[in-house]
Amino acid sequence: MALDDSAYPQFIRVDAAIKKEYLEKLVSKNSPSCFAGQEQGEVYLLAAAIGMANNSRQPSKARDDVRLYRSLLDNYKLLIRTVALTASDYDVSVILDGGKTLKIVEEFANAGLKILYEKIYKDGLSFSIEDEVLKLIGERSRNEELQ
Amino acid sequence: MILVRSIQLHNFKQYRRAEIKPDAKSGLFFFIGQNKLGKSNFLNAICWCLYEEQPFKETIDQQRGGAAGLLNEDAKRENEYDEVRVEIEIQYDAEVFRFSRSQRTTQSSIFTVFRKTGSDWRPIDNPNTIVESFLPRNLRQYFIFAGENVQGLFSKGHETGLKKGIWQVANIEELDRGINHLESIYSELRKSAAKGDNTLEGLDEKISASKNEVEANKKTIERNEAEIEKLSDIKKEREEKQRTYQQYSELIKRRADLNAEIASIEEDTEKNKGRINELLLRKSPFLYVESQLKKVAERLKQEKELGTLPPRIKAEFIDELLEHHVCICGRSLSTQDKEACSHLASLKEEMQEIDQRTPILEDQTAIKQIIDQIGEFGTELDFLKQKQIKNLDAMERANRTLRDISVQLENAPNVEVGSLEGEIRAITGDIDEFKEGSIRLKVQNETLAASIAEFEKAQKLGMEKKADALEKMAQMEVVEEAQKKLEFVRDRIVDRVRATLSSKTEKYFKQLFWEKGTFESIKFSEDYKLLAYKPGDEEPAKEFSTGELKTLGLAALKAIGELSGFRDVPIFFDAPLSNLDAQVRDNVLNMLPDLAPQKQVFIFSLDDEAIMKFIHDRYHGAFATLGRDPANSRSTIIKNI
Repeated sequence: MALDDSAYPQFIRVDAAIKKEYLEKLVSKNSPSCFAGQEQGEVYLLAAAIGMANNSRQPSKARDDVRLYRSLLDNYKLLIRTVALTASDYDVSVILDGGKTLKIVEEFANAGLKILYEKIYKDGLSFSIEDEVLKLIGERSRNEELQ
Repeated sequence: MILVRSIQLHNFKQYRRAEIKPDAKSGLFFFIGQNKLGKSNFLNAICWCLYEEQPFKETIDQQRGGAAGLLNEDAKRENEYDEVRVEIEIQYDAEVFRFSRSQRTTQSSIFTVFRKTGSDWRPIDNPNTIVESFLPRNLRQYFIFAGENVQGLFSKGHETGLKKGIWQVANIEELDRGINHLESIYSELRKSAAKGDNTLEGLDEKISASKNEVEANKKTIERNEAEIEKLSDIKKEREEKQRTYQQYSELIKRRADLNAEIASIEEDTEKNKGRINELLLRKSPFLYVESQLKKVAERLKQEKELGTLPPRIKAEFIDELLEHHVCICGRSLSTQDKEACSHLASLKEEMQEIDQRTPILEDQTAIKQIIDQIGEFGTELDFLKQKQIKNLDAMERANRTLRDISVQLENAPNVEVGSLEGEIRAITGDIDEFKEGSIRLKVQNETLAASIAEFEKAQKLGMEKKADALEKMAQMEVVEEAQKKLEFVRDRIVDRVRATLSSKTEKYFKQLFWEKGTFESIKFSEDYKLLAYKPGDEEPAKEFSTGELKTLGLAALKAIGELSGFRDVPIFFDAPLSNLDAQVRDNVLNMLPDLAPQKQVFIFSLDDEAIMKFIHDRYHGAFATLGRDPANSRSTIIKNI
């Protein structure tokens, strides 16, 4: 199976409970986060990255769909493949299989969504994703300088 | 009393030089001469001198030559440009005048009247006027006449001339002129009086209307001024308000500016937020998995270096080998060589699988680019974050100021400065309109005042004219009365003159005419037509004999001469006995002394036996003769005896 756009469905999968509990709240208009009104698919993929960064994955119990526009897909192909390759110990054949690849991503996204939600809703309004990102960038810069 | 003092002829026709000097203030002066010696021309000389005309008959020879014909033949021979001159010296009461007319052949005649002042003769202005005052031209025929023309007095259509002459002789014409003059005065007075009546017409109404208009305008001006004052107060109050609202207006403007600024910041913040979200969602995931990305890239690099990828032999080449039954080492394969063929088929499958994985190698490059972009995205995100902080600060400041302004504007009156400006503009417009209206009315009043002044002036003038008209009307009455009286007098005089003329003509005719009873009664009609009635006739005679006409003429001339006014004018009578039969001659001669008893009467006649006897018997033979000059047989001289 070739690795092309057709390998990825317009709908990706997520744990139904996590979607309802975290994802929908994060993107709801009343969300205190910066994700209010954003696309579920994009928040989902950020969560997948966060899940991987935290080495945390969670298989879905009951699954639900998350819409991801094809126009946005290009930006995330590399991310999806990286997550799948890393998680499969660099088994290239994994990424030739869309189903396997997205399942890996789904597990990381489930975990990442929970982390994200907790940071936002549990750490209170003091948490800011952009501050966190900027902090990471700051650390990265410092590491580069050290290197 | 008019007296001829002398008559001098110089180069006039037959006369080279001739002079007569009557030695008495009245009476008959006889001048006897044969035919062609210049009896008629002597009278012509007098008429030429006074009127520049020659009414008496001459021979054809004498009539030739026009102006040149006047000049005496002898004189002409000596000097064809010599002067013709006739001078008549007349005494009028205490004054002496000399009438002098002269002419040279090629020139017009020169007429001069001199008045004697001491020993000097001084020319007077308007010589013809004085001639007319002595003896008017149209009366000449009644004082200078020839016997042979006397019958012409009653020629056809004589009435008009006769009436005019008699009226003039009797000074009735003067009276008539006076009446006409009074009539013209009356007419003038009536015109003036009528003017006086008209001049006041409508003036009162005009003045009253103009004054009413002025008053109305003044009231309007007063109302305008009151309105202007009221509006000025309102304007002042609005301007005061405007000044107060101006301060609020600045605050309102500031508020509006701040609101705009906040809106702009909000817009920018929203835009930044969008971009931050975009960066967070689309770039930050790669930051989180940067280490994984690097490892994937490393692994892909190793794969490439190991040659695991791409496939060593393309599946299409193995397909071609299988088709042409050639082994990869170059030897030919028969269809029975199944092991070799199977080996090639499995090799093909292996190569196809590797080929499918080959595109992953591209990710190595893409990951490198993504990692490079992470730095850039971080810088942008940091910048946007700082900008958001700044915007937040700015927003806070703006909101703080807005709150302060709102507090200040809490007590602001609910009036728009713009509406106040509009109101003030409208009030100013109204004030200007009232002012313009007042100015217009003031100008109108000035014009009206000028008109009133004119009307009043005209009224005053009209009153004066009216008074004048009243005076004129009074005068008219006087003039009318005078005119009526004069007309009455004139009519009475005319009646009396006509009656006198009629009775005297009848009387003298009867004295002169030999056939007693030829005409029983002689009258002049109202239009001075001669009416002669034979005994027993009720109708006047329609035909007259020459003798009758001549006798009637002589009788009428004597009657006219006795009328008033020109009684003093001397008479010149040429050929008194011409065309008369013997009996009438005697009668005429007997009448002559009574023709003009208080005048000079100059009679020019042939040396007729009857007249010579008459002169001898009644005047001791005193007469002058016309004879040839011995020095020049062509010239006539007058010898006094």
